[in-house]
Amino acid sequence: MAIFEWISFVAVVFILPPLVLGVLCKTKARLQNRIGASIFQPYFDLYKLFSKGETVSEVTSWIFRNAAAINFAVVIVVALLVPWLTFKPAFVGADLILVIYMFALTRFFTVLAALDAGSAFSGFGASREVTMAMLVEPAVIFCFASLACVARTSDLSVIFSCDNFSLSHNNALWLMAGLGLFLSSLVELSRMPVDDPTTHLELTMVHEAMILENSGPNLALVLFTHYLKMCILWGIAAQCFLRSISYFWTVGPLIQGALSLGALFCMGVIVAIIEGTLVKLRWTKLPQFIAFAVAMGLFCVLIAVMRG
Amino acid sequence: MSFNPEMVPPCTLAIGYGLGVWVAAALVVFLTAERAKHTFFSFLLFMGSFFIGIGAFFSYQQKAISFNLLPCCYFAIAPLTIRIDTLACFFLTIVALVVCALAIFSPAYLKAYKDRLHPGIYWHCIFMFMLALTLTLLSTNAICFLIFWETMSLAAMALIASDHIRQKARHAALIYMGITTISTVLIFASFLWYYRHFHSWYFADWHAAGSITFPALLLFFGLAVKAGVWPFHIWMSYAQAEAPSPVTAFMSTVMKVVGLYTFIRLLILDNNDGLVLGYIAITLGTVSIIWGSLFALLERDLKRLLSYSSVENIGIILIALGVCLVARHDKQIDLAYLALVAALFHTINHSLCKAGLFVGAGCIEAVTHTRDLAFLGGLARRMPWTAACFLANSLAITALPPFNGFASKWMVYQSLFKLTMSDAQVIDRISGLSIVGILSLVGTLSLACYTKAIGICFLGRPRSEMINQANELSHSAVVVQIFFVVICLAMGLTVPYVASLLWPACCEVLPKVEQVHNLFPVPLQTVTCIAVAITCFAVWFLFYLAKRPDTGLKKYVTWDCGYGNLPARAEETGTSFSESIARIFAPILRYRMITEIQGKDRRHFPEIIKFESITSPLLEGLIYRPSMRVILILSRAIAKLQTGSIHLYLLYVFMTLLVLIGIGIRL
Repeated sequence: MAIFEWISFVAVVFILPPLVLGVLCKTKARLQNRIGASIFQPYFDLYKLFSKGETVSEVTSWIFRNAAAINFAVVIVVALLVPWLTFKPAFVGADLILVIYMFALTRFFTVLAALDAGSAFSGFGASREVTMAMLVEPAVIFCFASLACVARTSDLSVIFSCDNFSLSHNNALWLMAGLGLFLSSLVELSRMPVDDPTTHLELTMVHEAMILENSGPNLALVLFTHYLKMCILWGIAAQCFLRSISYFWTVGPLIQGALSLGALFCMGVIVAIIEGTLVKLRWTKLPQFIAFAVAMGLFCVLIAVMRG
Repeated sequence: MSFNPEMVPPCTLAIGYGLGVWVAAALVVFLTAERAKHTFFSFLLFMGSFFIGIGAFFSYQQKAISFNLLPCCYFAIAPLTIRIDTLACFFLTIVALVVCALAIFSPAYLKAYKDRLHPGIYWHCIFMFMLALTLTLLSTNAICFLIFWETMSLAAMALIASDHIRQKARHAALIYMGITTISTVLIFASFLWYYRHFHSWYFADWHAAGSITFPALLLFFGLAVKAGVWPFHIWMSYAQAEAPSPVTAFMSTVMKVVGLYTFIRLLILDNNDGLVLGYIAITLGTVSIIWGSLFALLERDLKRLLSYSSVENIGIILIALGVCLVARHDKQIDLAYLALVAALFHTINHSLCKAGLFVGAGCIEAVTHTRDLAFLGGLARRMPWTAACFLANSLAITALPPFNGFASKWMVYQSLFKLTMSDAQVIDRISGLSIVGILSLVGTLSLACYTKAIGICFLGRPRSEMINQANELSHSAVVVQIFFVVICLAMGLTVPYVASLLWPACCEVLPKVEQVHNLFPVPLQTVTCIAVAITCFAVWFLFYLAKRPDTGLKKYVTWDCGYGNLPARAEETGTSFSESIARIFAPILRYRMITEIQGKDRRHFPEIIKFESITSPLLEGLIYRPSMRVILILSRAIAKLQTGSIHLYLLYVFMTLLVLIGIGIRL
């Protein structure tokens, strides 16, 4: 069973992330009355980038090229820690502070790599990235911490365990946490109301601006890391949403697994709809958007403290 | 009890040898004065702290020993007694570790400034400072403590002013002088109060008979002033920026350690209510972390940036201590232990990585002769080791795994979680969770601050000419920095062991309970980090080594939007990096931007663009300056009484005489 879990998990980690993006792009294209690229397009893009040569700015130091590898490794391990799907091989406890700080570690290196080339644009991106991270971090930690308080442990794998019925009647808490995490994920992943991932105007971009200097295999690594991070964040939000539905707690593990996969794709579709219907917010309006996420987090805190 | 070598175990004697080396060194400096050699005295400093460190480390967990150091010394009301116990040994070990490393670093830095510092005075003050500091940690009674505390402060003041030719350094020393006087007055008042209450000068007697809160508050504020807690942190950014780098490193690490030691020794004990002090500590700690990290982010001066970051870290320690006090009041001893271990652990971590960072900053300062981020850049290629160590120490101080900073911050988070999950009042629990949120916000702010420091100093293109001539300061400086990084990493990977070592120190002040062994989940950090390292290596291998480097790794200019090779001035600067956060916190930072565009058709063809961003520290403008003005006006009024005119004084004498006669007749 353990071996089966490992194989399925490794397969999911490497196959799922581009697919979710593919579904997202396809949905978005259909919403805009386009046929759109195949849902497997992200794989082809990654393959193309991987087989290309690499151009590196002569200003860069060792940080620039190694940051991508470090971030990739960190996010893979985080994927192994965080219960973003119901089926996941057992690993050491996924402490929520550890997970949040592992993400912070990737941010640290991304920002440094952006500053390394000495380009004005990636500097902008880095500056914006830390600003948004600063605003959104409390929301993320409020959502997780209130779940942790009700579950009386800070281990995410226990909080999200399907056998942990102490949390099964907290529908409101799960819903709020899911909403908070979903809204923050839009910020963390630089998706639509915050940043338009499809534009290529350096002055407005956040994540794209930071990785402006990366190319070839390096860029492939960065992109894959980003896709995987996307899956983890949306996956964990989807898990919260699923747990707010009482039905989810009554079904067996196989259906739960299928549901969590389905929910992940649903998140992709929802984001596609958001991106198809909303416009990008002005940079100065962003704190107001993030305030919604923080408000969800605060609701979670209130529910958790009043209940506990 | 007099000093009897046979009674004292050899390891404890080592502490005495260390102190002896320093006393001897102080005397030798006195004789050599002008001709004092940096290398020689650094060696003596190293040897002294080495002995003290070894002694303290091996005396740790032994039975406490107290003796009269010099029986002839009797400070009027109390003898000069020192006591070597677990808590003191703990702090001595940290102090000795940091001082050892900094002693190795000092000569290289001091040689770069040899025409500005007077070696005799410098080394004399250093030895006075270290001796007084060590004896403060070992004092058993209030009188000794105050004498050594004052000596330490005066020595520190002289050290800040060591580059006294510059007006800024004199100004900083003056500010420090003022603040340290306030601190001493508060501590003095509280000690007198304690004496009146407990009828003893000995610290050991200060917790038996009932609890009194007011002197505890006085003491708390006295220490807070000295440790640079908000709103008393103002002095730090002046003093620490202007002092020579080794001195700054001493002040921001070992001197803070003394303040925290006194806090833990005297205030965690049940001689106060706990709740009042706990709430005050948590509140001030929370404000400190926000304030420190915000101002650190905005700072252009590398050393000031680091000193503001110390304010933030003191805040974290203070929050942990506050939780400890509240928990002790609520009789949750397990939680109190966890919080105290977190505070102690964070104290070590902060001392080590901050010392490492100050060494790095000192190297940059000595090599490039500037601390202004606007003139640095691209140093990673000129000083690769300093860059790598600065990066690693920054990872440690921003609490990122796998370094030790993460572990202590994890414990602080965990103690706040435990407070939230406990049966405490709702208000306690809500504030516990809110502080978790604030801590995470501050964590990201400090991440921003350190990525800015590294990114602007070490990465990108050089922003001034002198960078191109820069080289590593010296081998010793590199070795010291690597030493700090290795210790931080080693402690980060062996957290459960280190945490279990901290337990006995906590037993000194908290009611004894059985040791909890899983303070930090064993595999949590280590396993994860090893997994990351393996994966990272695999990826690196697959992507970079397996693909032969000649298949198209091309070097080219940075993307410049088609403008041609842009100069370094077009890069992101420190100011522009922090601009978007500064805008959000504009009311606190009093951040304003003034843009001035001139030209015929301003919009499309500007001729001159002037841009200025202004921040003014809120507290200084709103509180400190006005209160200084009031004090000045008052002193001017008082000065009128004493003009130096003999006639006026005769009048005073006459008036006094009349008044006295009047009183006499009445009686």
